[in-house]
Amino acid sequence: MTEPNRLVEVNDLEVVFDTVEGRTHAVNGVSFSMDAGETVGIVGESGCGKSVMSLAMLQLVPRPHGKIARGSIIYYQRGKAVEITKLNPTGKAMRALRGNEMAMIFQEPMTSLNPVYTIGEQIMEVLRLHQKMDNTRAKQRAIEMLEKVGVPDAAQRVEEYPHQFSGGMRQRAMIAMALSCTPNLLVADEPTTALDVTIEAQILELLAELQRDINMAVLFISHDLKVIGEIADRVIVMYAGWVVEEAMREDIFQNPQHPYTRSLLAAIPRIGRRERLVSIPGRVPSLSQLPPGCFFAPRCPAATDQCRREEPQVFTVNQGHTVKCWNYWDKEVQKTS
Amino acid sequence: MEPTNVQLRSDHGFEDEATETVLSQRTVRFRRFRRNRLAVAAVIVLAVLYLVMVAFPEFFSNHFYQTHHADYVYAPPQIPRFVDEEGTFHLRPFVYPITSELDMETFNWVYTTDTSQRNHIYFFTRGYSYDLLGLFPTDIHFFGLEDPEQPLFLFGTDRLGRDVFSRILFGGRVSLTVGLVGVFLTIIIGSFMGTMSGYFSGPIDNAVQRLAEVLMSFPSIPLWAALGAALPSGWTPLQNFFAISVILSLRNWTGLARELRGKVLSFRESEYTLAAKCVGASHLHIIVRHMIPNSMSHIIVISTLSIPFMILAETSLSFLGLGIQPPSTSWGVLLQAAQQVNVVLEQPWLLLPGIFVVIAVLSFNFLGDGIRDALDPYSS
Amino acid sequence: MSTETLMRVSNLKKYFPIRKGVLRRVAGHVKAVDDVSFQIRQGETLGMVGESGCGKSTTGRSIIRLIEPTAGSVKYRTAGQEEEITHFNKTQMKAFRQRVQMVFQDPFSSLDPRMSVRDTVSEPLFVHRMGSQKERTEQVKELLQTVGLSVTHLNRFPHQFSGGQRQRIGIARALALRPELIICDEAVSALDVSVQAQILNLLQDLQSEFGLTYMFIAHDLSVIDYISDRIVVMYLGKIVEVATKQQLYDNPSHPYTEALLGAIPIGEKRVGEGKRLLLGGTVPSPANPPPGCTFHTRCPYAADICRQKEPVLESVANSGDHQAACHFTTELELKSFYDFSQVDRSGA
Ligand SMILES: Nc1ncnc2c1ncn2[C@@H]1O[C@H](COP(=O)(O)OP(=O)(O)OP(=O)(O)O)[C@@H](O)[C@H]1O
Ligand SMILES: Nc1ncnc2c1ncn2[C@@H]1O[C@H](COP(=O)(O)OP(=O)(O)O)[C@@H](O)[C@H]1O
Ligand code: SF4
Ligand code: SF4
Ligand SMILES: [Mg+2]
Ligand SMILES: [Mg+2]
Repeated sequence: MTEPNRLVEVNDLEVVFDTVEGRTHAVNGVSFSMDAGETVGIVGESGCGKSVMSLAMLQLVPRPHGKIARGSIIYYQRGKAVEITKLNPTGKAMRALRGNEMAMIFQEPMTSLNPVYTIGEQIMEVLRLHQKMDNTRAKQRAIEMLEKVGVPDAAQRVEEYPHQFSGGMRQRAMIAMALSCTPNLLVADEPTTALDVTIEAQILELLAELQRDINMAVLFISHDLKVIGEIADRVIVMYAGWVVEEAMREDIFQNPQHPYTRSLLAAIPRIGRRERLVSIPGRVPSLSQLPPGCFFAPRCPAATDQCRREEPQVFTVNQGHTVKCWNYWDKEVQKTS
Repeated sequence: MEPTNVQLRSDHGFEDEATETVLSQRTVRFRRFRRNRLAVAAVIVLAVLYLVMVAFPEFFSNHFYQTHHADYVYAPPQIPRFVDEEGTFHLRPFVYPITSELDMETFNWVYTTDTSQRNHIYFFTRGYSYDLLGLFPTDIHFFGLEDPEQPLFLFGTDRLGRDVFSRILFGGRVSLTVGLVGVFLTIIIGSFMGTMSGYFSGPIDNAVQRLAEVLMSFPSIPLWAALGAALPSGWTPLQNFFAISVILSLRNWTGLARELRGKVLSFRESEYTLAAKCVGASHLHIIVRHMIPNSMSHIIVISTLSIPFMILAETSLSFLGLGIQPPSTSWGVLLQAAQQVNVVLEQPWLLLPGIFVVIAVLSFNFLGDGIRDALDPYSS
Repeated sequence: MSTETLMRVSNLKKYFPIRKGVLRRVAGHVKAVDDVSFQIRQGETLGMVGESGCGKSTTGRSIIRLIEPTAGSVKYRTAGQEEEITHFNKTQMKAFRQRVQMVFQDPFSSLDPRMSVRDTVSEPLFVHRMGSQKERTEQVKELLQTVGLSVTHLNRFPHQFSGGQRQRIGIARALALRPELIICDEAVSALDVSVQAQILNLLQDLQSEFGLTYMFIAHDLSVIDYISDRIVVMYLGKIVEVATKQQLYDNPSHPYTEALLGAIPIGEKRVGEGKRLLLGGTVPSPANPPPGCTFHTRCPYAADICRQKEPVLESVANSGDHQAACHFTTELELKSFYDFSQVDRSGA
C-alpha cells in the first residue's frame, strides 16, 4: 500500500545516548515519510533532537555512546525497499548509499570540509569513490559543480583550500560536494544558520533551483520557522524528540494546532509588529530527565492534569495535518463554541 | 505604553526553582575518569608503588638493602610455592632453602635447592630494626621467614649478595620522588613564562619564544655530561641529583610554556576577557582570575605527563653514571649493574628494576591521559 | 525619550594593521571602521545593522575604547558636560567604565567557565572595590532576580545553564555597575526564537525600569525593528543610512537597505510571485575596499559615477533625521519592506 512516489519512511524511530549523566532520549518515536522531490522542513528549538534525527537518517549517529534503539528507516532505492536501520553503519552497503544516493550538508561547513585538502580534491574524492570516475573527468565535474553552485572563477578556485573561501562560498562548496553524485535525498542540517540573511537568500534560492533540476528530496532542518517557510512544502515541528505537529506549510502558518507551534509563531519578531513578543516560559527539558505525560506540559499554557499524566495521542486535524496534543487548538475551539 | 512592573515579571520567562538535577562539573569529570579503566588501574598501581616504595620500603622489605650476604652472591629469585616436591598442597607459602657452591671451572656460583626442608613465609614477622616513617623504632616487617638468617630473596641477589627486591623498593623511593622536584620547578617556570608570553603578545612574547627556541636547540646528553662534571665535588650524590633536576627543569619548561601560550592566547581573545576589560579590570586581575584558573587543567595534565619523563631522565642519568651514585640507590643505579651482556644472560633478574621503571612510566602516562580526557573529552 | 545626545561619535576610524613576513612588517590595513559619525540619544535604542564583517562590533568596541580607535572623537555627556573619552587617562577611564557596559553575542564564550555565577556577576563590583563580600553577594542575588534567574543558581557554573540563562547572567553582570548605556553586540543572535523573545522582552523592561540607553547591534532586521527607535545601516566600515525605524521601512533610501529588507525571510506568502530579493555577491574585503561607492560591486543601480566618486551621508528630503549615502537617493524608487511582503501592519 506504499505510494509509488515514496522515497523514505521513518517509523517509530528512537535514538538514545548513554552518557555519564544518564541516558539521553534524543529522538523518541518519530514517524514520517517523504516523497521523491519533496522538501520537508523540520523545526524546533535547540536540543530538540533535530540533528540527531538527521544523522540517524544516514546511520551517522555518533558511536559508541549513541544508538538507534527502536524503529526503522526504509529507503526506496529505485522502488526497492532497503531497511537502513538494518544495515551496518560502516558496512559497504551503507557507504554506497551515503554520499551517492543520500547526501548531507551541515551548519558549519568549516568542520565538515577538511582543511588540508583543496576544495577540488574533496569533491573529486567523492566522485572517484561513488562514480568510479578517473582524475580528469572528476576534476571536470568538480569545476562544473562549483560553477553550478555559483562559485565565480570555478576553474581557478577548485585549487583553493577551504580557509580561502568565505562562509557563504564554503557552504556552496559543501552543496557542490553533496550534489556531485546527484543524490535522491539531501539532508540539510541548518545549512544557513551561520550565514547572513542576504547570503541565506542566495543559498536557499540555489538549493531550490538545483532541486528542481535533479528531482531531489530535501530534508531541511532549521530552528527558524521563517526560513522553513521560505523553502519547505511540508513542515514537521519537533519538541524534545517528538514530532508534535506535521502539516503542509500553509497549515502550519495559518492554522497551527499545537500549543508549541503557536508559541513559536508568536515569538517571532516581525517587521511592523508592535505588540510585545510572546515568549515560551522555561526551556526544553533535559532529554535525560523527561517529565511524565506530555513533554511540553511544564511550559504549556493549555496543560491539564491529563497532560501531566498521559502521553498525548496523535490526532488528525485534516488530510495530512496531524498533531500530538490532548487539547489541540481546533478541539479547544469546538469545546468553547 | 511603558510596561508596568507587573507585566514585567510575567512574560520574559522567569525561571522557577531548579527542578532538574544538574551534575556538578566535578562529578561529571570524576565519572568520566572512572570510565577509563586504564587510568583507574594506573591510579591503583601508583598508589601501591608510592605506599610500598616511598612511604614504607623498610616495612615491606625483608632485608636491609645494603646488607651483603657473602654466601649468596648472584642468587636466583626464590619463588614462593604452595605445592612441595611430593605434590602435597600447603596453605602457607614456603621456599626451599638454597646453598651456593663455586664452580671452579667457570667461576660461577652454582645454587642447589634443599628440598628436604620447607621455610614457611610468615606475615608481620620480626627482622632488622628500623624507624617507621623515620619516627617509630620497630622491627616488624610485612613478611619474612621465621628465622631471618635463612635466605629469602624474592628477586634474587646482586654481585655483592644484596637482596634485589629490597633494593628495588629503596631505589624506587629515590626514583619516584626526586623527579618530582624537577617537575615542580618546570611547572612554576613554564606556567609563568607561558602565561606572560600568551597574554602580552609583542616584545615579551617574542623574547620568551626565542629563549625557548635557543634552550630547546641544546643537545641534552652532552649538556648533562658537562653540567654533571661542573658540579662542586664536595656535594653528596643526592645533592648532585637535585642540582641536575633543577637544571633539567630550566630547559624543560619550554614545552609547558608553548602549550600554555597557545591556550592563553585563545582565552585572551574570548568574550569573557573582553567583558572583564569592559568593567575596568586590570591585567593582573585578568591573569589571576581568568587566565590561570582556565589553564589549571592543562598544567595538571602536562605535569602528570612530564613526571615519567623525569623518572626516565633520572634513570638514564644514573645509568650513565651522572645521576645518583652508589652507595645511594635508585632504579637507574640498579640498572647500571645490568650493563653487560653476560650479566643479562646469566643473571636476568637484575633487569627487574627496568620493569618497574616501565610500570611507573606507563602508569603516569595512563593517568595523564585519563585526566586529560576527563577534563576535556573533545581534545583529540 | 529626550533628544539630548548622550554620545557623539565623529569621524571614527579603526584600521587594523595587516602584518606580513618574518619581520611582521605592516603590509596594509583592514579598514574595519572608516570615518563613521553618529549620535546616541539619551534613553533611546539605537539599532545597528549590516552583514557580518561590516564593522559593527568594531564600532561598538571602539566607542568605549575596548579597542583603541585609530582616529576620530567620541564625546560622552556627563552631568550636562560633553567629555572627550579618547583623551581620558587610566582613572578617568575606570570611572567611565561604570557608565557604559556591554552584553556579548556568544552565550558560551562570554562567561568564564571556571567562575561561578556569584563570581561572574560580582566581578564588576569587585574590580571597583564596591562593598564587602557579603554586600556584594546580596547585590548579586538582587541582580539575578532582576534578570529572572533564581538565587539558588548562585553557586552554579556556566555549563549548567542553557544559552538563554547564560545570556541573563551576562546581562546581570552588565547591570551590576548601574550603567547608563549598554551596548548589546548581537546579544540575541545566538538564541532560539522563543528564548530570544524572552531576552528582548527583558531588555525592554530593564530599559524602562532603569532608564537605560541601548546601542543594539544585530544582523537581523526584524529584531532590530522590534527593539530600536532609530537605525544605523553599515556597509563595509561606513554608515550608508541613518533613519528612524518608520522611515527605514517605509522609505528606505539606500539600495543596500532595500536589499537587506528584501532578503528578510517571511515564511508566508509573498507579494506577487513572492521572491526574496537576491543581493548577489558578498561583502568585499575591507583590506581592499572598492573605489567610489563601496557598494557599487553589488548594487543593481550602480552607474559610472558610483565607481569614481564616493557618496557622502546626506539628509534625505527635508528630514534631518533621515540620512543616506548614495548618489541617487532622490532619483531611485526603492521598494519598502511592505512591497516584499503582505504582512499586516495594522498593529503599528
Ligand atoms: N554525541 C552525543 N553524545 C551525547 N548526547 C548527544 C550527542 N549528540 C547529541 N546529543 C544530545 O541529543 C539531544 C539532541 O541534540 P541535537 O543536536 O539533535 O539537537 P538539535 O535539535 O539539532 O539542536 P540545535 O538546534 O542546537 O542544533 C541533546 O540533548 C544533545 O545533548
Ligand atoms: N582584531 C582584528 N584584527 C584584524 N582585523 C579585524 C580585527 N577585528 C575585526 N577585524 C576585521 O574588521 C572587519 C569588521 O569586523 P567586525 O567589526 O567584527 O564586523 P561585524 O561586527 O560587523 O561582523 C572584519 O573584516 C574583520 O575581519
Ligand atoms: S498535550 Fe497538554 S501539555 Fe501537551 S501540548 Fe497539548 S495541551 Fe499542552
Ligand atoms: S552610490 Fe551608486 S553604487 Fe552606491 S548605492 Fe548608490 S547607486 Fe548604488
Ligand atoms: Mg543541530
Ligand atoms: Mg560582530
